[in-house]
Amino acid sequence: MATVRIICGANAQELEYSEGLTPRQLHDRLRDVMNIPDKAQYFVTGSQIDPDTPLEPGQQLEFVRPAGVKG
Amino acid sequence: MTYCVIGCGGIGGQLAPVLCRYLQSLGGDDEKTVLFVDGDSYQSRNADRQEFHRQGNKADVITERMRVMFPSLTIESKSFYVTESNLFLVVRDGDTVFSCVDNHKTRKRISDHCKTLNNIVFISGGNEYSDGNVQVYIRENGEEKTPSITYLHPEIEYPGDLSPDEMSCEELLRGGEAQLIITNFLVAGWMLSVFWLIDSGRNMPYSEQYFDMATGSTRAVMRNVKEVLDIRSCL
Repeated sequence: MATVRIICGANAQELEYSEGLTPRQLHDRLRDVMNIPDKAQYFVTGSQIDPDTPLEPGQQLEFVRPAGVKG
Repeated sequence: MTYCVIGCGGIGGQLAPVLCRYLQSLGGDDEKTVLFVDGDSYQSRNADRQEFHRQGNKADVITERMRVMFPSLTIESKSFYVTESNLFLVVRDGDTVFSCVDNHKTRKRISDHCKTLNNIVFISGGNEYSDGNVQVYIRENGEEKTPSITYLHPEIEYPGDLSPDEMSCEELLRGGEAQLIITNFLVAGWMLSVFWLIDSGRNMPYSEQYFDMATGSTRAVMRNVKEVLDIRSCL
């Protein structure tokens, strides 16, 4: 089964790949489950991508989480 | 060697005694100076997350306490908020800096200053309510060994908040959002674990560490500088 790996901050998940799946769709779908902030940046294998670029099987998508503010 | 702790609140206050105990345990003949920096004062409302034996400037109060506990160390304080114009008095070439502040504006100031130095270890921590992160920026002989803490972090590169020296008395008195002492404690612990890795001569395997208490997850990542389209679009 082809998968994609999704990361946000400390959290990571493997999801079954489906054709045409985009970072923006995953952002909407996983917002609550993975605590993804609204203003996340989208990175695939270390490079920033457009949120509407479809993912490919086996890719790793990171929603870069903003740094903590408080201390 | 000077170890500079900027911010003596929730994170800095928990980091301080462990850092000092660790440094004292190392022994040796080299002088170890720990410098605490903060312009804020302890107030009774801080007691839910912070330990202090009297009210007063946080850097001064914590310095008093650490001097009693760790007499073999040289412990000093500077009772002001760091700004572009005074950072050179605080952070110098060859220092190790622990940023425990509560705003991105100050993180950015420290980061910009560290980029001008030849040798620096800059460990920055911050948290939200139940998650947080630690970043490390290392320069050796004028060369970056890890990316800047602003890399992939537009919220630090272009901070939208105010530093305490820019706030009105009313804004300062209002205080910040609710925090958990446990989250502060974990940030302090991760900052010290980064320091231990560097201090013990190990290779630094990551430049950023995330944790999330809600899911029990931690993740370390080594950022590599690659093309970023426009991080301002994420603000």
